[in-house]
This record gives sequence, C-alpha cells and structure tokens, in this order.
Amino acid sequence: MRRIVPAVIFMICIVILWESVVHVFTIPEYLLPAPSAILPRLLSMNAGLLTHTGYTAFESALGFILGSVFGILLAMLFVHSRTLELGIYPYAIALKTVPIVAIAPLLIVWFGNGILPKVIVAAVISFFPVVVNTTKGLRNIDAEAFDLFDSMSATKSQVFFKLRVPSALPYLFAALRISSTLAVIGAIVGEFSGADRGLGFFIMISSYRLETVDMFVGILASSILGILFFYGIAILEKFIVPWEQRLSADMA
Amino acid sequence: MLLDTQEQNVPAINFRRFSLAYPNSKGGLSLQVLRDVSLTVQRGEIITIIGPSGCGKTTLLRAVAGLLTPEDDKVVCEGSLEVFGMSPWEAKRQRMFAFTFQNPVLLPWRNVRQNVGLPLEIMNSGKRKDAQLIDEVLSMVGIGDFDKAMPSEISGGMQQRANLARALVQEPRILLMDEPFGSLDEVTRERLNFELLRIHRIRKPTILFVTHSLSEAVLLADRVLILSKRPSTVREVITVELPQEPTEETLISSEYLGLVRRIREVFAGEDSTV
Repeated sequence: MRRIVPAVIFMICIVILWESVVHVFTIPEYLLPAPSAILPRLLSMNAGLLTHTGYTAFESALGFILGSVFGILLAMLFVHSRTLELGIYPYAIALKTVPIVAIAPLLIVWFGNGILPKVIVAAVISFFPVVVNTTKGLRNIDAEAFDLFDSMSATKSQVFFKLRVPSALPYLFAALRISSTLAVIGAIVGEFSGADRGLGFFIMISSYRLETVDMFVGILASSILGILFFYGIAILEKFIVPWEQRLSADMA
Repeated sequence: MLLDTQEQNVPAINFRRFSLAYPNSKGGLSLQVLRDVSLTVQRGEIITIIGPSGCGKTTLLRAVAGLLTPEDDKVVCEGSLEVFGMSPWEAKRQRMFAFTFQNPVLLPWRNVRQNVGLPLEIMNSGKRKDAQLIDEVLSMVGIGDFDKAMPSEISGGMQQRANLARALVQEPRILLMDEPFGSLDEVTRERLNFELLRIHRIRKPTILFVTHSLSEAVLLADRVLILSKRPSTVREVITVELPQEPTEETLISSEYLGLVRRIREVFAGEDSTV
C-alpha cells in the first residue's frame, strides 16, 4: 500500500495545479475545463455514459479475446512448423507497421456501421503482442530442461504441455496485459471512423459540439476502462502464473 | 535360464575404441571430442570421470544417455558403445537411465513433490504406487518435509537433493550424473556424497559421475577414469580400494589422501605436455 502513496500525492498536486491554472488565467471552459467542472459531470450523467462505456467495453473485450486466441493459435503453429513461421511471421510483423487508424475506415466500408469493424480493429491491435511473445515463450526453453525430457523419453506432446506451455505462460501474460489496453484503443479508433454508440462516438460528438467538458469525461472513462482491463489481467496472472516474476512484454 | 546367464554377463556399459566428432558445419575439419575410448563398466559400479575443462566429459555422458543423435546433433561416431548390449537410444527408450544435470533443472511451476513425480507422469505408470514411491525417494534423499515447497523457496543443496530424488524415482539401472554437486559448498557436497553412497548401497545402480573435484572422485568411485585433454582418450583408470565403507574418517586416512595425490600427479603430467 505504501508504494502507491507517492503516486497519489503526485496526482493530487497535478489536479491542484490544473485547477489553479484554469482560475488564475481565466481559461474558457471550451478550451480547458477545470477538474471541478469535469468531475461532477462524470458523476452526474452516469446512465448515458455508462451505456457508451459498456458498449466500448464489450467491443474491446470481444476483440481482445478474438485477437489473443488467434495469436496463441498462430504461435503454436509457428512452434510446430519452422517453415510456416519463416513464411508467415515477416508478414505478421509487416502488417503491424500499417497504422491501425488507416485500416479502420476501410473496415467500416466492408462491414458497415455495427459492432463488427470495431471488434476487428480491437482484435488486430491485440493480436501482435500475443503472437510475438507467445512464440518467444514457447521457444525460449532451457536446453537442459529439454535434455531432461529427452532423457525420460518424453513424447512431443508431453514436452509441449508439460514444458513449453507452462514456460510460455509468463510471456503470454506479459503480452495480454499490453493487449488488453490496446484493445480499448482499437475499439475507440474503430468508433471514430463511424459509429452511433460507444466512447469514441461520445468523444467525437462532444468535439463537434465543442462540449469540452464532455470530451474530458469521455477520455477519462476510456482511461478507466483500459486500467480496469489491465488490472483484470494482472489479477488473473497472479492466480495462473504465481511462480514467475512479472515479465515485461515485447511490443514487437 | 540360459538367456538370464547371458544377460548377467553383459556389462552395464561397454566402450570399444569409441570415438566421437562434431563435423564442421561448412564441411571442413571436424572437432574430435573423444578418441579411442575403451572401458567396460560392470553392473553396480561407480565410475567417476575427471579430466581438464572442456575435455568431453559431458559429451561422453550424453553419448551414453542417448542424448546425442547422429541426425539432429550431427555427431559422427566410430567404434562401439553398448549399454546392456543395446544401443544407447534403445536403452533410453527402455528407460534404463536417469540423468542429472549440472543445474538441478527443477520446473519452477511445480513444487518439489510434483517435480520428483514428473518422470512417473511421463512414463504413465499406475497412480496408486506412485505416491508411495515418491514418498520413499523423498525421504531417502532427506527432503520428505519439503515436498510442498516450490523450487525457488529451497536452498541449492535441497534443489540438488530433489534433482537426485527425481532421478531415483525412475528406478534407473544406470545413473548418469554430470557434476551434480559442482555448485555447492564443500560441506554440503561431502554430505551429499555420503548420501549418494548410502543410496547406492540400497539400490545398486551403475553410476557414471562427472566431477571437477579430485577428492569427490576418489571418495565415490570404485574406479576413477581420467581423461586427457581434447580429443579425449582414457589417460588412466585408477581402481580405488579403500579398506572399508567410506566415512568421514576416510577423508583424512592415508590411503585416501594417497589416491588423491596420485590422481593429481596424473593430472599434472597431463599439464606438462601442454
């Protein structure tokens, strides 16, 4: 608990500074609203905001799960066949260099204004850390541990399930922590490109109406959503991978 | 009966002018690791293997264990190496070996008991006797009280005991040990040496034991195999004859110290030819 004290104090200082800057320089609300204006709004319009947040949360979660499952399956395939890895891996990485913001409008054209394009954007963005780290985890096995299994005449599937999979779990979770927050970003980017619900839609609409307070409320809600996802995974990790110090993920 | 007596006569391990080389990947000169090694190891014997660093002690052990395969590891062998009259790979398939590595190689996600039980899971043996067998080896190596501990929670000496227990649970006919106590302090090592001798008296496995320590080599061995520097040949095989079962007093006896000195001299002779 004591470890979070400095962070809390720092946060309080920033909020006080922000509040005083707004009042001292009499900055108009449409440019930079004071925290004292944002907070009541965040709390007062909870029903509408909650619907938007829930919608985005659903898209993010679905995309995150799809992207992760696909990433894990592909990583397993890579470990199974070196040829497949050499053939596909470079393109999987190359695809990552395409800005996700540029793909989103195309997906709207293809799949319409509904939930599907947002889920796909969230899936694509969460896919990369998972495939990269899981492949690394499944491969990065201590040579002596391999010899140990070899000396016991273990089958390939025993090596996979009793050695590779547990060894890869810390790597996988490092990736999932990152991916879970990326998925929220992906869903919101998808909503920017065309939507009638969700936090991305809410932020855009507020921007058109110059309702800056609402924009801040939307941004705040998005961050909270991302943080919740992150800690959800971190808690899961503690239960599933209790033996390992946390690894930090490779963003590829 | 005839088959039985024939089987009885087959030595545990038999090297006949055994040579092993790693060919250069570019097809050039190969790296000769072992050359013309001849040695017959009887059942239940403890052979300790010493030699200069990098001389191929580990390779020798891995060759016996069938961990080196001509296809994957690209090794070229000459002469013959038989284990109970079989190829090392066939012997490995019949689960005659247990191998302990320089590191304990305990899987961090399994507790001590689960680590020790791993070989039984791999062999898919019947569940009911397994628990009993695990209990037996855990108490044999003296870690019965630590069976629920995770590997990261126990000392290096305890980890090596668990490593030994995992080998013993396989009830191996041949125990191949690659410097298992190399990273331990001298007191812990000596204690584990005596434990190993005690276990050997009960189970009577054939043991090949690689070590850097001359005193450990003499204490454990029926015979000490001294290898030359690479390409390794058998420089000398010294039979260890101590008056009785080794105890702590043995370590200061003149017979024991004389043998250690003699092996050191063989080593020194090796160095002077460099």
